[in-house]
Amino acid sequence: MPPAHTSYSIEHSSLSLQAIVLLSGHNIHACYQCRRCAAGCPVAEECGEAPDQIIRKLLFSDIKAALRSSLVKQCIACHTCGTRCPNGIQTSRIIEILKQVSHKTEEAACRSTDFHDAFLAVIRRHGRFHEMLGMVLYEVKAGIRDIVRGNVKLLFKEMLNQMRLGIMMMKKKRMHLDATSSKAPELSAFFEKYEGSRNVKSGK
Amino acid sequence: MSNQANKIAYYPGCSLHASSKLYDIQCRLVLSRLGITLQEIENWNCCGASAANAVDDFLAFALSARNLGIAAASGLSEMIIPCSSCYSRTMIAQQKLFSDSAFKDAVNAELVQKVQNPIKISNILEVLVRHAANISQKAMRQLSSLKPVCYYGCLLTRFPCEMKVADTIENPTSMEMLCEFIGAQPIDWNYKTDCCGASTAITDPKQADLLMSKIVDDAIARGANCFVTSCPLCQLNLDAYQAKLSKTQKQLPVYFITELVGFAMGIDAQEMQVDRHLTEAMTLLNSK
Repeated sequence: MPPAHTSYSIEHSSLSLQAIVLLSGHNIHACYQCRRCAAGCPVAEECGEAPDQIIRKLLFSDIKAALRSSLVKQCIACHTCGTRCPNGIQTSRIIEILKQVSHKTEEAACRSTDFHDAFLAVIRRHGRFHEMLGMVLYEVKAGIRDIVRGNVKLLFKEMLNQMRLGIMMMKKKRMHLDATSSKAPELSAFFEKYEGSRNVKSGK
Repeated sequence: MSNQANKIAYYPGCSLHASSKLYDIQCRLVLSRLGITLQEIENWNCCGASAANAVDDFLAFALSARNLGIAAASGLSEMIIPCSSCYSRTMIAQQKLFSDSAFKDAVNAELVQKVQNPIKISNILEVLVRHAANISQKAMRQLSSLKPVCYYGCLLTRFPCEMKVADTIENPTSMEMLCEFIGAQPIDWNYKTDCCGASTAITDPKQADLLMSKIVDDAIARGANCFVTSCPLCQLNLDAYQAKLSKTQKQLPVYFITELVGFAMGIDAQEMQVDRHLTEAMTLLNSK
């Protein structure tokens, strides 16, 4: 028997359970809560939440709660959950869809979304990823967030760690100033399409 | 004609043009010893790695589709992708494109070189295993002092969709087999397909440290004296952060599979830039 908050699916009709099934290509209804995905998840302990709980929230059509799950921010996409599922539900693919939705509606802006934004900004411009440029962009984005939130100490520690790594890599010639790039005119069309879908709240 | 038969299209990916340039050099060196010529596809772009698929499906698939279009235009029937993340993204994109023709048409509408026919996509292990007999024949050094734990990581065998995988999903063994062919003594362990944390090493170090310390602890507890991997990000993470994880423990070199195979076949460690590892890796190799 679904609980009272089933009404969320009406409120967010554009993000219905059915839409998530269609977008991900996975039949969430096949879940019978054996929790093998939960047992395999390497970040569940740290997150305080396991993949099966996201599936459960979705089955109750509580899309908002599913989007707020800590795993949407912290899932590392190792795909262990889907590999272990006896019913072939790829929960990491479903979380991928939730990541996309929450990114488009800016519900889960955090360090990992800063990293993705910085990464994509570099490849939009250069066609390929330039590690040093990407890291600088990311640090600026994450740094601004830290300053706004008053986490100056965290920011300082982070900067120190990244510089240490950068120097170590440069010493061993694993970090370079010159960029690898490609002429890929189609990329701007891809990114324009993506930006377009981003302006429409709640994605598709 | 035979030249064309031994030519494989090559997608290095960004990492092999930057922080893991050494891996690019090694792949070319090792495969040329095995009679294979790599033809880098022209003007390739980033596959989007783990960033594009976290923000938008179309963007994620289209980025790899463009590379697939270029690869198809090369006329070669196979493409090798040594980076696990690039390999995974390109495999997933190809599967999506050829199972959803409306999606393929939408992507093709934006492409100069259209995706038409699927191309065989291989990771480096598959190609090396295919030439295992040749490798053991050419192996002039026996690496019998090496006791590696073979580290496959996530993306070589696990996919977020139905996919035919070249090795066993939860217990792959191709790297162990290659190690045995060159005289090394691979050690069985628990973390061969566990996650190193990938980019969380940057965005969530606490999480990444937890994951990596389990991997490093098990390797040391089992008496391994090195790691061997085929993924540039797994290599970089373990190479860069081991010192931070185990200040009191010894640190193990993190080899690319190409370094071990190449060294066994007589390629100079310096030539393969083994001295560019962040955790010292020359001594053990030269002590063989």
